[in-house]
Amino acid sequence: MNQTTAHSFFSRVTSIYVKWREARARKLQESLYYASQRQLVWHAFKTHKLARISLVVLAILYFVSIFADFFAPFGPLDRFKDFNDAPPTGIYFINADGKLIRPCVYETKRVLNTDTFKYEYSENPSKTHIIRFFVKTEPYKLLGFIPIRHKLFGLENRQVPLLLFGSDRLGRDVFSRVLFAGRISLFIGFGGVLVAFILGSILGGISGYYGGVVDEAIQRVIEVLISVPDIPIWIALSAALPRDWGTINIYFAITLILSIRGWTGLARVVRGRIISLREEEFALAAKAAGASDRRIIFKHLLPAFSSYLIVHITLAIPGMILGETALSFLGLGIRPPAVSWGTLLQEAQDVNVLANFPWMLIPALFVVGSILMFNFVGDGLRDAADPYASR
Amino acid sequence: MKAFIVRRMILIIPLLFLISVISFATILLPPGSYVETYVQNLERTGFIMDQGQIEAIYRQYGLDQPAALQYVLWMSNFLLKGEMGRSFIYQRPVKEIIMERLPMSAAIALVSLAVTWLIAIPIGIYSALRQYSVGDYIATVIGFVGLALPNFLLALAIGYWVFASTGRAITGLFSIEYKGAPWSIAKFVDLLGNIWLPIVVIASAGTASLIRILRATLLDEKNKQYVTTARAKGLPEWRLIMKYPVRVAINPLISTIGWTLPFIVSGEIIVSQTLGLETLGPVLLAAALGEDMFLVGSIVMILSSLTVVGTLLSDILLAWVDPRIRFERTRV
Amino acid sequence: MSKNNVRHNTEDLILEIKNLKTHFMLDTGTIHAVDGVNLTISRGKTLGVIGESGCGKSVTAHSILRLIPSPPGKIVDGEILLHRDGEVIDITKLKPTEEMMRNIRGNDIGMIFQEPMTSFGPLHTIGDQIMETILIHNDAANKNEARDQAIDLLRQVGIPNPEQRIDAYPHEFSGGMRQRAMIAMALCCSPTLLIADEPTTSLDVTIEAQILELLTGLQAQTGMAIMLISHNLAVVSEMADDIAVMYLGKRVEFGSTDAIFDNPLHPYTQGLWQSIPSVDGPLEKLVPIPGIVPSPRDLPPGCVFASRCSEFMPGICDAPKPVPIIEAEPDHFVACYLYSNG
Repeated sequence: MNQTTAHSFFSRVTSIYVKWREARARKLQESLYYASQRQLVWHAFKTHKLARISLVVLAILYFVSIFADFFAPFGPLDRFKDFNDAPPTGIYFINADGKLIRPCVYETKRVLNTDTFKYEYSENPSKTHIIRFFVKTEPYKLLGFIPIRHKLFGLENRQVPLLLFGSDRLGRDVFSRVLFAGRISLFIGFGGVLVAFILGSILGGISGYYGGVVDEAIQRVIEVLISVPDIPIWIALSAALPRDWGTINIYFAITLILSIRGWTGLARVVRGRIISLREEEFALAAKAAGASDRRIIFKHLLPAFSSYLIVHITLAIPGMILGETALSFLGLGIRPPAVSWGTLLQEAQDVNVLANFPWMLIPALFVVGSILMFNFVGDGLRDAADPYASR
Repeated sequence: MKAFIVRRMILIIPLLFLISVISFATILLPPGSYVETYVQNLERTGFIMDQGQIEAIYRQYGLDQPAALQYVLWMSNFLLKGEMGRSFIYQRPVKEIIMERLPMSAAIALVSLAVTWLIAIPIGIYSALRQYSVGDYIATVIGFVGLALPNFLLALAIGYWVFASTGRAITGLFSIEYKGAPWSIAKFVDLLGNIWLPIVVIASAGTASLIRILRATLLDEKNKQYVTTARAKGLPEWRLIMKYPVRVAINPLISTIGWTLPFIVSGEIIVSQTLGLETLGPVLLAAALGEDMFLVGSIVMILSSLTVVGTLLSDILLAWVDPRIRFERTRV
Repeated sequence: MSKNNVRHNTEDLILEIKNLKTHFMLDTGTIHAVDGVNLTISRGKTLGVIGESGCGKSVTAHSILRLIPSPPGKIVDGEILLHRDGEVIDITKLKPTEEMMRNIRGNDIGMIFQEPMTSFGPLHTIGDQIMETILIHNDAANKNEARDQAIDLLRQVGIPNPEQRIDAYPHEFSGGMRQRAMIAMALCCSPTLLIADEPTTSLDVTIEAQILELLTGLQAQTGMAIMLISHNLAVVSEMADDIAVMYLGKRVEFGSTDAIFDNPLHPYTQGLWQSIPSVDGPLEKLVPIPGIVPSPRDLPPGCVFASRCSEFMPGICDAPKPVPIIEAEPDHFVACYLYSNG
């Protein structure tokens, strides 16, 4: 292909592309005329790049942690003997002769450095183990009921450690533990927000709709809860949880404790909106038509500001994740053997651990990352919820 | 103004009452009574109590009474004598422990609040006046990260960085040689050398949201008519920006003290635990882990009450600096 | 072009605006808010500037004091000449923040704005804000003198109890009171020119009359010139010695108040006159000007009024060249092809 044909070819491709873009834009423009509120919000949200990327990454994070059994090469409690506090295993794509090979790991041995009296790990490049995808393992049940006998990746020899993020004090794979921990850390936000949402909409709704003494009482309680620092209250309440409770009970208790304050903000928003909406015509019309109070609140008033609620909820989740992490970090939240990002970080509490085994801080990246992304999504939704405002 | 202060003072009473009830509830909350835990703890150390001694303790704390009466007893002891019960972990009156640690906690919280403002205000002003500049973007990014980074992690990271670069581990407010020493200039200097880390860490958590609020309000205010008026009078640009829109934009910040303060107290507890500071935080945690509930409940009550009082002060301050609010609220 | 504007003795001139162009560079395009405006104001006289909202009259006023927010606004061409003590200063050559400019603001030229409710900073007393102006422009004055002067000014503008009211906050004043205080603030350094940008638009009719009366009285006392910007023909006709009619960033007609009222030349001015009811004249049908003001983003070529003009002449009015300014009778200028002989 000489230069001129190349040029005309490209210009043709470009013109086709431009036409396609125009057609798509036109179609979009037309569809916007008939779009519902939800479609408008979604459209505005999609133009928010950072928020959209964050939403996708968060979805992947949730998906992976739900199916952690499959994605994690090992169980959260599986231990490698003699591999305590081992650094991340190196993965090699090029062999000794400089040729590209399938990714593999070298066999690693622990040796005692007789000068420093510290354990060191030395790799033996002559013994390689290839990393395989959909590697066969001992049968297990995905999500507890789907029988399966493969993991996403791993080594054929299950006794050889493949530690992407290194291992902890007891020789457990930090990578696998991070994925399993996501189940608790990521979902405690949902649970807490759900409780906060229910409490907040009901109490805020009652407070705003009925007013009077009920409103006054609820407002006082909210004031106390807002002006009181939450860590001390969380500490006091989790201290009161019985020592012999199982993981599930503790999990739900912690969720409740975290949402103790969470509902207040939502209740205030709901109350304020209801007070202003109550006077609006459609609420009066519903009342004139003989609708009951409950029906007016839940059928007419709440849907009228669902976008507010969604934004509020999205921005509340990171607070819950942080709360759980902090409580578990202090040893008052999720208790071992259950794993959450907070319990993983608990092991990284002192400077010595950090100095010698910095990979123990990797779970922190997940905490910070997911909180950042929730904030981006929340900001994007907030901008999008008002599609006419920015134009 | 006086009427406003009195009104706010009266409104705070039911708040403090609710706080004391909640705090007392946490004392009663754990299964098994305080005395049972107490006796069990003593038995673990090999000291067996006889029935008479146990009953004596019950009577001492009024634990054989109904909950409401116990509350009245606890509160009246606190209000009249400042007594809040006895800690069995420390084997000392709760009052003593709290009095020993509270000043440092309060000092750290207040200085952190001040530092939060010192960081947030210049950055917020800069961001608003130079909107969309490189500095504005950097401030936004740092703000976002500050928002997402749990402060114990930041404490760990900076602590590690100090350790790695100087070989000195910051653990506690004082170096070992000054730990039990009486106050002296040298001890104070030593304190300054250690205390900056927790303060910076605690302050960093609150700055992000303050910057955001200040930036948004200032962007709004700087285009208002009164700024143009002031400019048309011939005021130098810098002076007019500081005197008019910045002053107006700082006022909403004062009203945020109400929620920054609880945030800072929470941060102080967790950072103190991470860095082993001699404040109320580690005591609260140890008490909670040991189910030393009188200590837990008392600390919760003191911290919460002080926070509420702090919020009240910020409200009064706001009314004092903003004539509009003073005007509105005294009329209501 | 400048020969068209020399109609007064130059010694009497205090402000000359020559071919002023103030544009706003926006992402969506450039807005020609003021596009070649010529105005002259003489000592002690009142110039009325009249036009619909968006015609550039406020932007012209803000340009004089260099209050145009930049970016996006910019004076791209023209001169604003301030005659002061025998010297002539071109304001467009000054930097908005430079000392000379700050000295002109408040000192030589005072300005009052349309919105008295938001024109004072909410956190400082009225007195503080007036005294501030006195103190920045008069290094010799001390606080007590400034305070006495401020009380005097407040009394002059008709605020009762000025000794007490000086310590009041803006929100304690009513709209009319605030506008009076605003005038006091604009006058505190005895400016030679007062720019009043729609000073009564947001006030009640009765208060409007009081404020206008106050302005006239103060002008008689101090001998200052007033540039009165308004969309209200009645207000302007009562106050002004000369009138400039603006449309879409252009000055379409300029002359003495009598000339403009008795013999409006430009079709736009004629249209304006027909669209207001007259109280004492014979009962006439009100005729609105047809069409809407075109967007200042894409101005039509030629005469900007062409699209709404009843006298539109195809091929002449929409020719892509500037409309000539014609002195149709002595000291009465109009920018319209109807009066060009040729």
